[in-house]
Amino acid sequence: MPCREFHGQLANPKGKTAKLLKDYVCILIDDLTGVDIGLFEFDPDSTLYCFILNADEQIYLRYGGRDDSSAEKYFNEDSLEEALEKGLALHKQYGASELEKTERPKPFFPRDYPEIAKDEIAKKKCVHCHHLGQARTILLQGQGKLDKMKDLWVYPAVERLGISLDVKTGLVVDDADGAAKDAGLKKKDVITKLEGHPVHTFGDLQYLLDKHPAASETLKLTMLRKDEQVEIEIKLDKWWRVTDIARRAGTHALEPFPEFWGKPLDKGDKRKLGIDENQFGLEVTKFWVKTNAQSAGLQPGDVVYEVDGTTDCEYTGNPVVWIRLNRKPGDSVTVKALRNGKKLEFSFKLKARPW
Amino acid sequence: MKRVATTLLLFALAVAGLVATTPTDHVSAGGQEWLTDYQAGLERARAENKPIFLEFRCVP
Repeated sequence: MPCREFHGQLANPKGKTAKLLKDYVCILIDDLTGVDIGLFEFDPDSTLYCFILNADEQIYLRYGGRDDSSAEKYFNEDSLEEALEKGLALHKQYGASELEKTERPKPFFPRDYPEIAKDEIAKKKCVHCHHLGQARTILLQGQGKLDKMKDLWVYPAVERLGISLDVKTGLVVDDADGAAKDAGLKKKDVITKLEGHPVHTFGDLQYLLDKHPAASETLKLTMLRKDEQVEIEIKLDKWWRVTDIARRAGTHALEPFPEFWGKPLDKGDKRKLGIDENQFGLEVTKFWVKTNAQSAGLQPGDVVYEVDGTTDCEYTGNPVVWIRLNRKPGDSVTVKALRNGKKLEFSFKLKARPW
Repeated sequence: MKRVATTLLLFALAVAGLVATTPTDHVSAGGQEWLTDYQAGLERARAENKPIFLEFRCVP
């Protein structure tokens, strides 16, 4: 559901949603300046993200999350109503002392990122979600602590593990494939726990998946299959956390700047150009500033299919991402590109940033 | 398409109503009150023994 439409439903709820929201105190925050993002931690590349909690700031559940295809894939009336119902049930349990209290995470505020303190807060601008991802990259990069092969792949996608969920019903498996299928996950299973921690929504599942150690080789899921509780162990490959980081604001600040911008070609367009569908294929779109790649002769419309002898990669199909992850400012790269069927080669030096 | 257009219209009307009539610490539309002050929301939730639905809107 488009984000603005979903906002509309929340701003002007109807039917069951309205009835459920009457039992809540609703809070809307659109400026993160004073928010404890240590407590309210969520994917900064979201369009909206919701929490259900109580006055003791005990979080019952999260509602939100996304994948590479869309920031709104998991928002719909049905799953929202289910989350609201679960929230009310959990509140009742909390009141009856049937829920364990969780320890509050260490406070962390947007102002703790120097970039945000300087560029947003000091200038009295609003702090938005995407600022957080960007500021984190800048901070870690500046401290020399950024592990490019670990820190950028946040909030992994369940699809990568072979799990497709019926988005309207929250955590009901619509289809299982790959590693999840091999582990025994079946259609209509209802996921209830990840590594023993209860999950009530897709937001919970993705949050806990993000907390799962990157180096781990397995992931335990508990499901309800009819009336039976079933546990499976999914084998994780080396790249289980990989998502398309080109869509992430955190990547925009990543050094080096690859010296060109572009649009990845789909499989059909690659085939037309004689490029294997698993290989790099990125159409250069435009140069916002004079870049070294442009000076070397690369032009809009050129299709980059090779960088420094590399034509494909396990964790990205995008040569721009490959450059950002594998090269540093000051390095030189050689790219090969197609222009009107002709193969061309360009070499240029990488700067830290475009501006 | 008609449903989407209707929803957007309702949203636009709701937003117009909020801007015109409400103080800065809360907004209300369609009978649903939305507080914009987090601390006030905590206090209200404690007083009324209600859970909190907290929305972070990330689209400026």
